[in-house]
Amino acid sequence: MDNKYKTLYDDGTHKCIMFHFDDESHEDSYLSVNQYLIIQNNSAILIDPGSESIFDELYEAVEEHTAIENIKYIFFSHQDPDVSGSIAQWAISTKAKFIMSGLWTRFMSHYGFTQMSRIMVLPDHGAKLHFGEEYLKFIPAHFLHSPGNFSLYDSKSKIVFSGDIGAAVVGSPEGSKEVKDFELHKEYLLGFHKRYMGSNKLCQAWVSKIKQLEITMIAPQHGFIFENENVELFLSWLNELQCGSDLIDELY
Amino acid sequence: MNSIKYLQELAKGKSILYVEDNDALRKNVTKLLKKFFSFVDTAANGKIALDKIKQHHYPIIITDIKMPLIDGLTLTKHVKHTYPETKTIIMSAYDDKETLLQSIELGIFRFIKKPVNVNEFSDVLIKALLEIKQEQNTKLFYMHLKSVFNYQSSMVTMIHGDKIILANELFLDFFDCEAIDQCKEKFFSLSEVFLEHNGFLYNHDNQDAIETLKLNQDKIYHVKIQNKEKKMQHFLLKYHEIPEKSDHGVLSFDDVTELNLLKLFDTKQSNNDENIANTQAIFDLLEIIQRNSAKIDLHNYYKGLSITNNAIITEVKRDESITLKTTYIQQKAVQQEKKSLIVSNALPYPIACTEIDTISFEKQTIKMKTLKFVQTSPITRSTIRVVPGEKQTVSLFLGENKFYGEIQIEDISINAVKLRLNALPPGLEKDTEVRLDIVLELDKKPLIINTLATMFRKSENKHSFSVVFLFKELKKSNLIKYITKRQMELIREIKGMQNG
Repeated sequence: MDNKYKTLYDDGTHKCIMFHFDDESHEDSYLSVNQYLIIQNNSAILIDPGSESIFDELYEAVEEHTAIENIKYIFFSHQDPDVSGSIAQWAISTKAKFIMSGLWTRFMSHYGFTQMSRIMVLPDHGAKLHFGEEYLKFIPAHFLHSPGNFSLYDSKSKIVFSGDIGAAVVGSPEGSKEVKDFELHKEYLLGFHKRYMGSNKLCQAWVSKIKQLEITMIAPQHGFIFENENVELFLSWLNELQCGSDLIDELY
Repeated sequence: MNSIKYLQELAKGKSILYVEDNDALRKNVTKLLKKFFSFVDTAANGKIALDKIKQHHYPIIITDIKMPLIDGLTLTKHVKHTYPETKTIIMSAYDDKETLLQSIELGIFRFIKKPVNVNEFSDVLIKALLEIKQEQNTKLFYMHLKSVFNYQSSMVTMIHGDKIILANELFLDFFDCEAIDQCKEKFFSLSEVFLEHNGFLYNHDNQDAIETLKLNQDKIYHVKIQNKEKKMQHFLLKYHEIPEKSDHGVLSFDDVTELNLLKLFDTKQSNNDENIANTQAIFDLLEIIQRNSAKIDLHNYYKGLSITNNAIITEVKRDESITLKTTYIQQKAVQQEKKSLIVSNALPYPIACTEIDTISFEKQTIKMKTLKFVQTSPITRSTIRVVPGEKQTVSLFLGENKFYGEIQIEDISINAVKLRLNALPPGLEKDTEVRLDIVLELDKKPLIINTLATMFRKSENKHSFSVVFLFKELKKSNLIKYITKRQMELIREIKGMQNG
């Protein structure tokens, strides 16, 4: 488990870290999973901390960057087990508030979580949260793929943590974690997005929201991150993508 | 429906002015327009048109550009200034770049090139009439909304983002504004008028007041605002999002200044005891919460498992009882614990209800009595504590001496364990170091916790003592696993009760 994290941004007071812990027991159907941590002084927000099976490793990895009690918020882009499966463990081990779409709060008891008073419910059109001297913006990403789904924008690092948007079905994450050649990367994006994303209209709505922001990077929950010109290339690609209900005849 | 019929329907009852100096063309087009519009007026130049506009309001004006006395562009300029909502359609043979640019700058609705194509012409008229209809509907909606707003007995305002877009007269009067535009000029964002007060909603480093409201739409907040006489007024504030209208919402302010509740939020120790004993305020606040249909949280524990659900107050009987509507699982938890805790950001302290009068599973209600503010409440627990399963053994050592009395785990967290002892071992004081050997069961295998701990707190029960020990340097991962599994067991247990 060497090199299980990558620093995406660090200006001395504000830091964004990417982890990549996977559930290796299913390596035959491999989908690499990324978790993210934003730290500013004594406050931290953990993003999509993943399933129960990676809790121990991620807990120890987070401890290397900040004290566990510094985690003030844990954000779940949506309800899937590879995103929120460890909510009960994080509830036991932290005092954090949990941020998610109101669509999923009632389902959290299936993961062993019942402390509803610790949940901050996001309204459908999103929200803005002060975070130290910066703010975090929760951007609607509904039906991309989950019906109650959000991306997170960090105003300091200008990174969009995009959840499943931009996810790529790639092999074991050895070495590089950035998209090098977007043209080549498209084939890893296509299958996932065609089937998992709701429709082109929804993709366009998300892209138009994202384009209103100044961004340096798009960091998805699976696969590789998009930087520099790849941000624009990815957004243009997604804006044109035919997916989900656009391809209804292929499904029924 | 074909477009001619549709145009006839839309133009019914509407008037139009047609300005054209070419007599033959004016006659032909007028004949066509009369097939659709109820009232068609004509003018042979801009001057005549201007005179007619003074006498009558036309929602649509069609005009040529080149005409004697006053040309079409000058006419458009006048119309835009006097009746900005009028749709001006230019019909001209001049489509040079400069004329087009000038027309766009003047804000014309459409440009139709002569000679006129009937299909194009009717299309443009349909579009203009549809836009007029839409604008009228919006205007009507806002007029109705305004009258609904003014009908309210409390201050209400509609905001988009954090900017005021509509307000009732009570609101305008409070802020000494004659019209909404004056309010817009007065404050950049509405939240800047909320003044700092303990437990109240106001902007500070970690909080944007409007964003907080939007995140907690079912809840009500206390705000303090200075009125035009520079007096402090105390309001309960609630945000209602307008469905299908992105980022638009209505804020309602319930003035509670006369109830004199501000001191309840004063945290000075000298005031605390007085505040806690203030049952009058409990019922004042519960009535306000009920009036605003705001949700509160009911909180219970089931063997350490936190059970919290929303509830709505359905009845408040002053100095007697409160009836709430909540979920089945909460009712079960209340039934088990025989008490409950009411938590809301509208309350300065949580309210403990220690007498459960009736629980109606049919009506989904709970009637509770004996209400009291409490300063410390279990919801401030910093860690999750669970009552372990039956398979548990504990040994307690003070130095080399083992405690041989009866011993049982009351609850356990990742930081501490609470033991029930039938007697106190000699020499056990605060900060005394002990060794604990605990055996629990995890995944049908024994989970052994062997750790040093210090005595943190003890309390005496009827026939036993409860003693809390803080773990020292204990690896937490196994305990996290245990507590997670135990929580799942307890969830199954309480959910099972739903069927039984």
